[in-house]
Amino acid sequence: MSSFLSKGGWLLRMDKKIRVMIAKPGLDGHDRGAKIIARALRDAGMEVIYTGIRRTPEEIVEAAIQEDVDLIGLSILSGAHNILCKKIISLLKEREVEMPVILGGIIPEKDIPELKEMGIIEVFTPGTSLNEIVEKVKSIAMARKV
Amino acid sequence: MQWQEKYEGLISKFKARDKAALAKMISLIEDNVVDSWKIISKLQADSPPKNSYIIGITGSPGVGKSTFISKFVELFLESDEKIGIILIDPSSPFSGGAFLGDRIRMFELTKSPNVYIRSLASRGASGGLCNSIYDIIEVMKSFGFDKIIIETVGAGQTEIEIFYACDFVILILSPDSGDEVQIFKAGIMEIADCYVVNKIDLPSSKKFIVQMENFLNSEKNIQKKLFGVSSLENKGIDKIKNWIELQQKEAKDNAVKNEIRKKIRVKNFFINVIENILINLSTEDSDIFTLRNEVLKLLCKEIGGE
Repeated sequence: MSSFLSKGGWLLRMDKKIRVMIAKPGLDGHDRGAKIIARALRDAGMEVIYTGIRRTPEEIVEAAIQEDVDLIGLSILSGAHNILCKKIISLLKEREVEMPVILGGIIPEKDIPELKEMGIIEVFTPGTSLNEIVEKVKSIAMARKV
Repeated sequence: MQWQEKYEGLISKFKARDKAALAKMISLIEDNVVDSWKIISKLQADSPPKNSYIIGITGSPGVGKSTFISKFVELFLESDEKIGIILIDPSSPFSGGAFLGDRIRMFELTKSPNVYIRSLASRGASGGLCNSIYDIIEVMKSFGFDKIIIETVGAGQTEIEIFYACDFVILILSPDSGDEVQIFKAGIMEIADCYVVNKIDLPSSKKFIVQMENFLNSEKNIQKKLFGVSSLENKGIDKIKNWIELQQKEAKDNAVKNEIRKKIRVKNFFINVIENILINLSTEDSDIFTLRNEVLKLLCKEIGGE
């Protein structure tokens, strides 16, 4: 906190900011985790758009395009991750948008290879440290920004 | 990549009214503060701006600005009007990050073909908007919106820049906004063209509306209207729509505000340059006068170059 202040954080700095969207597709209503991730990313200096719960893949993709985010982070605890992720990835392809997608939630180990194959860049399961997530998000998003 | 290159890649899609291109154009403006005027003058040559009507929505945190906008804009979906919405939330003074949560209340509008929604962070600005807002409005005008709606951060008594940026300002109040003394205070209570008391489903609203009526009756300016609505129960919002439509029809080009907007944009530009100087300046051994002279010298060097 003090290092940000001494670097000029109290001024109207307009650096190129990383913009990410934290989205909850599908029917599960538990968003404590998504909110904690969103706050951790905020505290790491990113601009985080939170969608709220129960969004459709179409809504998420359209919103991400309108917001021009550098990364979409999905939070899914319902078990429907394979179907929802496939849909979101294919919608992004349809719209010809290159936007990295990561996933967090209750995801069985055996499902991860398939998810990565379809284009999910990272999958975070329970127990992952916030630090690790923040660093990965930063590096993935920065790669798009340049 | 330079902005010129990015701009060339976007402009044809922008002119074809592609929302993805609009989104990227706004990012280009936000990320290139120093060059933003050059980008806009090029854009206005390529895609002449429409005379959009700019409506500002302001009020304290939690009074229901976003929910009100969602219900308000729904009323226009049946028409052909194109509506651009900008939602501003505060940036953190400690990390520079932001939690942008206004869009949650209006996700249903996301898929409407005539609506575009963009969340922005205030990035250190203190007037309730962000410093790029005037430039971003120009981009939205070039895109051809009929109406542009801007929601401020949750605003306090002095966060009144929305007054300069917009043609028409709606102040949203909630029935528990305090007693009559708060209503009489200067600042945000004065700048609105129209007052909306939201949450009239709450029992405390009747007393508050009476106080507001007394306040407006005691003012000389009787043009200002008061509306009681419940965004939650979708009550009373259609009346505001009709009133605003009327205002838009009768709106004249506001020379005074245009003048102020120009000056604010220049002010913001200089503040930006000065702040960039201050960041890199060591203050350790110098007193405040030497510091002032130092900044002046660097400012002349920086601006004089052009």
